[in-house]
Amino acid sequence: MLVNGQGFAGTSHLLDGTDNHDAVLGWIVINPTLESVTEAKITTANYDAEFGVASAGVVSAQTKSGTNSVHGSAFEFLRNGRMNARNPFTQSRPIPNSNGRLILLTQWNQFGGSIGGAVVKNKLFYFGDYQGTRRNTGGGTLLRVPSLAERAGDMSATGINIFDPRSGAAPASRMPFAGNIIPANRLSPQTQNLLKLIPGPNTNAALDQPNFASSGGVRLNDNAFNIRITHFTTDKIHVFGRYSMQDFRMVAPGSFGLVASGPGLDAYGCTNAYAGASDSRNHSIAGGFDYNVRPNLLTDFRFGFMRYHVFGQPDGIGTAPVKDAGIPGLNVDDNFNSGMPAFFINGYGNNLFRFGYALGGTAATAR
Amino acid sequence: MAVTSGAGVLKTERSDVASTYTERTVTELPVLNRRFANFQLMTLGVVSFPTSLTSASAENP
Repeated sequence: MLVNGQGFAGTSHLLDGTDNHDAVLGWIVINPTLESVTEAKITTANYDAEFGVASAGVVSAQTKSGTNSVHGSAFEFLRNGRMNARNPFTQSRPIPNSNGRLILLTQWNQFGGSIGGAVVKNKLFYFGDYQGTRRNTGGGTLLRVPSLAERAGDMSATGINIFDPRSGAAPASRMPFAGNIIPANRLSPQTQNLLKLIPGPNTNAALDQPNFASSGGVRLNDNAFNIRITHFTTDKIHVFGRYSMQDFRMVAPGSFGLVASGPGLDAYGCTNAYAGASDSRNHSIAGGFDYNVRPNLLTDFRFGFMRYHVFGQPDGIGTAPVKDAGIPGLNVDDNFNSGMPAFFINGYGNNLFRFGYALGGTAATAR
Repeated sequence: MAVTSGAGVLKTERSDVASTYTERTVTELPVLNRRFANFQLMTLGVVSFPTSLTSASAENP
């Protein structure tokens, strides 16, 4: 969400009056489940002095409390691929090993429930909710990969002269390769090794059009729950405590398979999406105490703790394709320096090849 | 229908510009993708991310 035209990190998020805003990414930590929210306030300008760390807006949400009588809910929401239309550009041929299915298996399943009640009537209340998401969204992408002739050095189809850098000292005095074919002994063996990891074209396309169509599914499993205890100690003193946990497991395939990876396939057709696994588990604890000194004097104490932990493992982590191809100085360890580096081949006017997307693993923790 | 007159709704005690969503709003209004954050879209001055900028979506979609 962008408030007042500012970056998303400019919006501060609060849950039960405690910080719910990751300091590194500027992102909401616990995206509250709809079952657990009782009220929310979104301030877009001139927020009160008690708020801060926000240049754009403040989103403050409160979680539900139990009541004297027991209340509960249960829900199930489902979307699936049988209701989706086919993308005629990327879904024109059946998916391999799918009994001729053209549309990716798409599933978006969200289920859960809540329950709240009193442990001691008029005194001690509990509330808890759970929400699970099982999502599998299909995505497709169109890319340009070098043709088999181009990989072998035959650039004649491009209609552009390829000059031999060894045929003259100055660029103006160089001669084109005969027939615009680069001889096999002049091709870099390292590049040839890396190109073997990139699949060949799978569609017939004009020179300046994408010739590689790829599709796949992004899987997201999410489990989230909240527990809240509220205690009406006296008419003047109220105490509450809440614990929330959200766990996300996401796996997105790359266009070129596990090692070469390539741009990730996502449901938006975004060409620089992340390919690999991303696991995160976020926690949030809030405690509050308020005391009604006089009808016109209130005091309030809050305690909050949150943990935002992301563990990303891009496709190809632990592999050493660049080292295996004969390029020194890369893939020197099994983690941060493993896998395919990002590299780009420019050519054909404004078209851009993109290969190998991610390099190494990441883990981020903010407290 | 009764016609009443009274003081206009003018907030004098604080200067913030805010929208409050009550329990009834949160419970009964449909919300896109059942994402709480999408309630913000009802507030003036709030727009959704362009999809190319869904930063951190893998971590917290």
